[in-house]
Amino acid sequence: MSEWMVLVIAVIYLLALFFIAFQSEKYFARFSNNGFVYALSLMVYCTAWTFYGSVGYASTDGINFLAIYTGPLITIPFWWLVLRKMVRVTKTMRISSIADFISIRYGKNGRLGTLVAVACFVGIIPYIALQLKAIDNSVSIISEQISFDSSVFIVILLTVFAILFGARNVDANQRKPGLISAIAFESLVKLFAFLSVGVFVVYGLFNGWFDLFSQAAEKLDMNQLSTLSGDGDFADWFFISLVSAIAFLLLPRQFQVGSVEAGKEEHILTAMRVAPIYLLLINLFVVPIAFAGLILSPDSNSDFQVLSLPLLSGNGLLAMFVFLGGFSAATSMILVSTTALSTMMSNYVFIPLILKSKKEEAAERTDYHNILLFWRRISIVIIMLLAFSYFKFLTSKESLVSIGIISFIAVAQLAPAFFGGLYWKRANNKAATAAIISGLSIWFLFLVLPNIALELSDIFHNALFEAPNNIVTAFTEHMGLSRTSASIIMSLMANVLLYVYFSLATNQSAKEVNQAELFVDIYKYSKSYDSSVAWRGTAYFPDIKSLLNQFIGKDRTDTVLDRYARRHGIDWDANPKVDARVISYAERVLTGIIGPSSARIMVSNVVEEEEIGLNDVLNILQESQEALRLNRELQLKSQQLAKATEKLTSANAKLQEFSDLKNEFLYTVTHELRTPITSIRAMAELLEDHAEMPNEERAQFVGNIIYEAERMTKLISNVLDLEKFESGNQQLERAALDLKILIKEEVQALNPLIGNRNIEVKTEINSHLEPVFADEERIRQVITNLLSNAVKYCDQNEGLILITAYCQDDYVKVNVSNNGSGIKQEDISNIFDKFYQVKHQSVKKPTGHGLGLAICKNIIEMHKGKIGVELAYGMVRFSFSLPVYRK
Amino acid sequence: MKNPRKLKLVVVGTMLLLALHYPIISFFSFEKLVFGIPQLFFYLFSLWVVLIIVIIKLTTDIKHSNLDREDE
Amino acid sequence: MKKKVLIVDDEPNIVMSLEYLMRKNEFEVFIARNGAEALELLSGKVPDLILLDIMMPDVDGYEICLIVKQNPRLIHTKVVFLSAKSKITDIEKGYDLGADLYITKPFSTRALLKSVNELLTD
Repeated sequence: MSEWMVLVIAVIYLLALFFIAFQSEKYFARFSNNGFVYALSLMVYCTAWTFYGSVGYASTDGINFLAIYTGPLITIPFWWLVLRKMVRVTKTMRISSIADFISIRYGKNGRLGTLVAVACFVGIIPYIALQLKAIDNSVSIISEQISFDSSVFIVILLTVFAILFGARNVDANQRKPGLISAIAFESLVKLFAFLSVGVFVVYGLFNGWFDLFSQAAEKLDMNQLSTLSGDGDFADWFFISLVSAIAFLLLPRQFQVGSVEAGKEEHILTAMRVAPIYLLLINLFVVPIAFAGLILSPDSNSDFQVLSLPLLSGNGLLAMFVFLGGFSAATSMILVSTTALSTMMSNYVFIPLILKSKKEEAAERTDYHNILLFWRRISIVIIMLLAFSYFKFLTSKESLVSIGIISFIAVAQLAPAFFGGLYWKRANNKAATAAIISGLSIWFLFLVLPNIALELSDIFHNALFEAPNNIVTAFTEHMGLSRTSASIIMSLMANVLLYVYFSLATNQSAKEVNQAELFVDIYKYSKSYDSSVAWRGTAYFPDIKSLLNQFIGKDRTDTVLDRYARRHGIDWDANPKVDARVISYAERVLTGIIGPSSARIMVSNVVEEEEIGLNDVLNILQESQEALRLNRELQLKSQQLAKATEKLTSANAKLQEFSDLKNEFLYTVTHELRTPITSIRAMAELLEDHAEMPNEERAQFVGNIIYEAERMTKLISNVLDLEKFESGNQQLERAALDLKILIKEEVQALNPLIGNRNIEVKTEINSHLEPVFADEERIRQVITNLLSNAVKYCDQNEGLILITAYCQDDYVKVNVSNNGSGIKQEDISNIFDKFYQVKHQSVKKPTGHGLGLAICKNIIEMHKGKIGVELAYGMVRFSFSLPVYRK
Repeated sequence: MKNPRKLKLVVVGTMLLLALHYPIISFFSFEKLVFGIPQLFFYLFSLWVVLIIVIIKLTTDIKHSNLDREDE
Repeated sequence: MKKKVLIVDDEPNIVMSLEYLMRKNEFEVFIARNGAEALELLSGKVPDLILLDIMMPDVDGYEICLIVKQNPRLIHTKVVFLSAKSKITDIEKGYDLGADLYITKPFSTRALLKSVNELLTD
């Protein structure tokens, strides 16, 4: 395949990528907002360095390369704590880069931001160069004929795409779902490409893992390659994994995808699962491929064995796939890094310069929109240009890996200031500045200067330039560490010591205290952020609006202001002046575009701000915090109150119900008593007033009086009985009882009651009726009651009463049936209720059976029996069962 | 006021840190082959798989609990 | 001419007492043991007085009162409620329906007689 073809394929691939990004942005903005895509975007950590360099590293040092991945691996359990906090802060404060983060945290300090931006710039340019080198080499390897130097073409190509992906509009705070989708896609491509070549090597070129490793054991130096051997390996392993862990979170591209572009915090959980799996898979075949390379083609460039091996075996298609994998790995790094770096450069280097130099003009400019965009894009071009230069002139000697490690160590110098700022309120800006500068200086002295000097010594042929290198070497040998470990430990130590010292020894300004409080306690403040920022003063709405117009254009300004108005229920036209919340919101929006200090400057131009003292700051913060807390408490209390009221109301209703029922009962009882009394009184009076009444009639009256008196007595004793039953005071005197005898006796006693009426009584009792354990008097009461009811309610002209008794299961069942007008089906369930129509309070006289049945029910149930009524064959049948007496 | 789930994460992370570095890792750093692959590889990748399983379990627990907590 | 009285009540002993009382005081007595019987009797006779219980199994006393008071034929008939329902609301309802008198049970036969005579001499 010719070089041209390769480049064409590369271009097509990039166009396809852009197409994916574009579609994703337009139509599937939701699609890219999921945890899996987020996790894959984090894997931009694996660049061409991973793809090619790991194998190279493993070829000389074996398993040691894995430190670069075990570092991040160890951080994974902490992501839910640390990364989540980072994301929360980033989102709340509308931070758009790591320079933003550090600058804002330490009091919106522009100089510190610039320092961080420069540090990143210096640290990442070589890293980008590394990608370019990888691409260039891979193109060379896969092309059969090399006709020209394609690197220039590649750089231009990538610059164009970097601008297309990363600098199409101004607001850096707007998330770029397109870019993220493209990165996620590339993460998948590079993973599958690497797995493919891995499988090919292990199962294609060898007969599986065992074959490969046993051959390796024979032919290679396993001590070096498969162990961490004593000479400084353990130290390297530790320190490299340390800086890798830091790098995974703080590298500009990692911060970009991990925090700035983060969506929901739950995505972090998905990432915690996906990341270790991805890292496992992509590292799984590194050592096998490295070993295979050493065994099969030891003379090839070990960095690019993933390409060479398939090519050597004539598997061109696989090689192409691998090429695209490596290409993906490199381009994803470049795209995201240039985006991140250009934002930092424009916000912290170019824009401040512009604003400073043209201060008077700055106030009058109406359209920063285009300027910002221009400088963003120029940044990208400059970055790529410098990276290209580095690539061309400086990388010839070094392997991919060492460049990468040097970048990592540079970025690691930001860690104390970053994490300290996140967790330690006292950390202040002097400390951060001192820490970063000292760390970077040592980094420079140990890692950068010697190499530059060596290059210079080659150019100038002067051995003096070798001095730095020699000094460093002597120093590290004295420490017994490799240069890598030594630089890491020295730089970080200086960094951390100065950081702690200055934080403890110096004071913070009001702004720093404000920011420290916000950052460290972000969870407390993130909801109420707008109200807790310390702007004191007002501004005119038109001023704010036109300020925003200048930077983000009219359309976007309208959108942003509308959204704010809707969320907070504000009518912009109502009041020409806006309050501090709005001002701070505008400031945040601008921060995303021009960085915090520039934003502050611009906003303060339109605000009449009062000077704030330290105490005021704290008071404001605490007040709003207190207000939130009180509000929450109030809500809670009122909820509790509502619940309690509900409980009270229902309890009250129940009480009322009971009281009503009791009243009705009393009313009905007294009512029932009135009727007999009426008769008694009337008759007594008549007896008294009419002495002439004949004796027969007199006797009748007297008899009636007695009858009614008895009726009353019966009612009263029933009521008292019932009361005893219901209050549980009833006592039963139980003994073995033969129901047969009882029933017969009571049937006999019916005769006088029946009198002359045509009522037939039939009795059928099983001859072997088992005894029950019961209170004779009470059961007699029940039977009497049922029988007298039967007599009362049966057909008065042709009455039929049927009494049966038999054993059923473990019970003795007694039935009393009568014919007659019967009971309506719907009344059946109520018939055992006291007075039965107590609830219904109708005018009609209750046709229930008074209290008798209620008492029967109580008696039977106290004996652990059952009582019931049913309609069958035109008869009304009352029955009760009592447990058989077992000794 | 760390809640138990977060505490578990910290514990897992710390244990991982200890298991992956000196001195523990030195116990496995020998030339011999285990199941046909170098012992250190076997150790590291087995640990890796265990980590994946543990993380999946812990993150599922967190997902199912209330995500609206504002604590540390 | 003897005054006619219709006694409507389902309690036999009360009916017996009232019947004796009324007879002894020169009334011609008609008896109805429930609402239906009362209406049947009323379609034939025009009593001067009705002693009316309220709580009866089928048609209750209130309804009877209403029917009587709306019937032009019975315009001179006095309706006296005799009931154990003694709540103020019951009594008011009774009067609202047009009763001439409401007497609660238990009552005194002497007082009843006095009131009835007063009613009938107006």
